[in-house]
Amino acid sequence: MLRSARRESPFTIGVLALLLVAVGGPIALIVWMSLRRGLPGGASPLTLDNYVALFRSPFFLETLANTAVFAMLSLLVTFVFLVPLTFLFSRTDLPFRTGFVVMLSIVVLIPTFLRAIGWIMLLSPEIGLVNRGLMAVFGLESAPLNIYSMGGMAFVQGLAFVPAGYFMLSAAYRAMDPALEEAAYTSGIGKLTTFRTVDVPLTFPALLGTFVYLAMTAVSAFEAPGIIGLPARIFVLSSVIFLDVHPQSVGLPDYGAAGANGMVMLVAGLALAVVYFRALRAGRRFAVLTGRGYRPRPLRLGRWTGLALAFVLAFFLMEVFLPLGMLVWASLTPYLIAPSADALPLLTLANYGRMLTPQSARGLANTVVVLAIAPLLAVAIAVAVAWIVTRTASRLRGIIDVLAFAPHAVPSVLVAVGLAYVALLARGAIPLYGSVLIIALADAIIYLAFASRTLNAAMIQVHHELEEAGRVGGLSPLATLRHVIVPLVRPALLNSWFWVALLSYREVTMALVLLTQFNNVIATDIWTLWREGEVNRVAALGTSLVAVMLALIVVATLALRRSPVSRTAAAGAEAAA
Amino acid sequence: MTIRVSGLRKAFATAGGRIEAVAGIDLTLHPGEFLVLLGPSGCGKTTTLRCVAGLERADEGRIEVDGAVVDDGDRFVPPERRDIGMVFQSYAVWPHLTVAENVALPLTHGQRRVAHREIAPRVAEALALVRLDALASRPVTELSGGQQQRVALARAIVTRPKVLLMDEPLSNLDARLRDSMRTELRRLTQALGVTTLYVTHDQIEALSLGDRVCVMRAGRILQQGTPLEVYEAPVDTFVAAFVGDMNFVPGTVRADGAVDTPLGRVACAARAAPGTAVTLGMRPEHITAEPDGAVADSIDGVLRARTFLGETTALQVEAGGLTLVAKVRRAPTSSVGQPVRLHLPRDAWRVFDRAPAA
Ligand SMILES: Nc1ncnc2c1ncn2[C@@H]1O[C@H](COP(=O)(O)OP(=O)(O)OP(=O)(O)O)[C@@H](O)[C@H]1O
Ligand SMILES: [Mg+2]
Repeated sequence: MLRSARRESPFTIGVLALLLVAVGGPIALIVWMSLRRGLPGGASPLTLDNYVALFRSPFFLETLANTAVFAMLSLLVTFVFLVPLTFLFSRTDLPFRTGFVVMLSIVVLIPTFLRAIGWIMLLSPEIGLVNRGLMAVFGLESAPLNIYSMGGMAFVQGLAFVPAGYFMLSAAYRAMDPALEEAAYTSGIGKLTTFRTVDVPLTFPALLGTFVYLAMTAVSAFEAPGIIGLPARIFVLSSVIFLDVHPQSVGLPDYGAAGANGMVMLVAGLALAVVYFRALRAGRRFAVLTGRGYRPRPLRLGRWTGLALAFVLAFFLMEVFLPLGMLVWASLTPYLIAPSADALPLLTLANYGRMLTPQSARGLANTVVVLAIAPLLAVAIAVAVAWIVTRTASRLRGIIDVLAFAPHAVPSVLVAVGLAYVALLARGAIPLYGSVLIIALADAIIYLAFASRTLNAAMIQVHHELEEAGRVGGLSPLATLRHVIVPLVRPALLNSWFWVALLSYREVTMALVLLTQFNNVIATDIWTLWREGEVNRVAALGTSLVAVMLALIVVATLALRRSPVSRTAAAGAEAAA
Repeated sequence: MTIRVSGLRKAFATAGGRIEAVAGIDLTLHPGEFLVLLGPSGCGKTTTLRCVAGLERADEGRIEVDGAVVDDGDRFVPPERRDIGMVFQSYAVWPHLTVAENVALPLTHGQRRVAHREIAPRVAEALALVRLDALASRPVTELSGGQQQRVALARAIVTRPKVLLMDEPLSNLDARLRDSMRTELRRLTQALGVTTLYVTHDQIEALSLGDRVCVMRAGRILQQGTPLEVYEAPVDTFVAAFVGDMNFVPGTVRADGAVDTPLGRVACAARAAPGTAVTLGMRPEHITAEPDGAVADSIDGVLRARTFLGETTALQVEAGGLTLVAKVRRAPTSSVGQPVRLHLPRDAWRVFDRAPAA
């Protein structure tokens, strides 16, 4: 490592400043706006009024309770599937398990709001096809299942967390020493009991880490609460913040209230983050005990194979095939109708024909702009960050590393609100507010954590002498970065660029918060159409969104000659949660 | 091109506290000289070399190249602006480039870049010097270890640096390749007339390559000299043992300059005050086995082991409660367990102050 820098280089200081503004800025603004009243830029004293109003409101406790219940119920759903699936995929000889894992890495990209829409088409009391079927079969008066409930919301969100959770947990499961299990078997303990008494406790730190990480995400998740919760009038913190800045009826955005709610969310997230890092540390202590780097022998399932496969298939049915199949079906019918032979003559491509409107054309163009800017920006900053963190002796590298990782822990809804606020403040000087650029900026900030982590991992593997050989060969630090390091980490670069592109493509929360008249993207178009009740056109647009994504994945997989389940995909899955 | 290092110090902050890697080193390399830093693992050889390269910044002291200061508390010239070539222990050839591209990069994007039309001939010349001309367009990852080593060498000399730095360049090669590369390195540096600073912990490499050898320990230089001086006249038992095998015998100086030892009285003319505790040392190859007869400077012992080494035979002989090792050309007829007589020529003894551990 180059230890020659005693004084910090302007480059390092520049990167630090950039991160402070881009990452620290939105968070600082949440604090700031929570202490002011009125619109951004207006005259306001510093005041605690927003907090007083918030804590006095009877609505606040209900929101808090809802958020907690929503997070816990979602995680319950997640773990009911996650633990058995991780065990089956990582430690047993389940047939097709590699294929299942590939599938997980792809379905993780299907946005939660599309799953929610699919499930509404299946389970809503009015239009839900499952409900109507059940009512017809059993002669029921009213719909037996209601997606528009806390349970429905948590069900959709919980399922959506499973792939991300899988990639976090599987590493720990795979590293487990099989001798520990074998010791249990030879002591006459059965497979299921061994799983319960050996595997689960041993991987407990990893389980806890995954749980807390997903809990952090659940506390700020907006898509399921937005699509299902808003119409059902079940509000959580994220949807309240959204409503504060996007009042549904007439009224001005209330950034003060959004800030106060945001602070509550930040504090909750921070508390969970502390637990998370504790769990990580405990996990490392365990990792020392277990075998390093060798492949445990898979457990033979034997006569349990059938049952295990049925479980996995049932999961995938709920995870993708039912909601997505519903979406595809609805995209082909003129109105919501149950799949049957009678319905076949009605099938039509008309919904696809009606997709292209001036509005959606702009959405498409804006999406392209976002994809051109966000991944490039995120990866460029990530390269600089990773270089400083892994290859220099700068004393600032610790804080730079933390800052680049911070967006991972900061709710995206807050980053968007903060950005909207700063854009409003600066709207006289920079025409950022209401532009598509601000959405690209938001994506770049949020996915910077993922990109810099991927590049850190890649760069740390580049032997320091490869870089030093460049320096003594007469190459300046920048020339060394360009001609030696960047080419060496190119696969990681391309991979993280691609993942940031995919993540930005399907991102909807921040795009919605930042949405004004002309900066709609495809994802917000779907959302808007849905609120307008255009069920079948939503289905067509949603199906197209997913189809394009799948096509891109296939092309990229072929082009990069890599399985989609690379380390990048695993890290990307976490970012997707 | 003279290199002058004076009072060099460098410490590292680690989890376990500060480690003084280099604790005050003075060195002078004369133009065209081949200087070897020799010492055990962790003695600060690499750190010294990296300071000269500019890859580390000295805590204290000064480094001058050709009279110009490149590092002293205030001034610091970064590596790319020092006129050096360096060969790394890991080779550090760039895996994304071909052999020729590796060698060309310093010329195309470095501080010492040359005109475009000069690049190809310069690369070809460097590759020819290391005998790799035939592999120019191969990806480096398809080369053997020895060939990669040559690429690293070609890349280091392609800018025609005045100074060549090498950090254990042969340590990753197998023994046979090491021998031939050693000869090659000597030929090459002589042909180029480049001033070379070479780091190794292998005494054979040091003695065979160096014009001068510096033996280091714990961040300091214990002795500098020609290989012969260091080998024949080591300043202490550590240097003596590090540059080759040596038998050590404790003793006490007598009034007449002879030394009393467990082997009896040794008439070696020690220049120390009577009564001083000393350690006597003799290299195994200076000992001969006497078939019979009472010759002066001989001792009787019991043969404990013998190992045939080809040109010589190594004997382990127990005498006076000590085990002596001898490397003899003519092996005695006695077999293991039988008495044997060794000749220890009085001129071959070295006298060291006692105390320093080996
Ligand atoms: N970057 C560093 N950080 C912390 N300590 C270091 C660093 N580089 C070297 N050291 C320490 O400084 C001391 C000298 O290291 P150096 O690499 O110079 O030894 P060396 O003589 O080259 O050894 P070797 O023959 O094993 O390569 C060692 O104790 C080493 O642990
Ligand atoms: Mg070394």
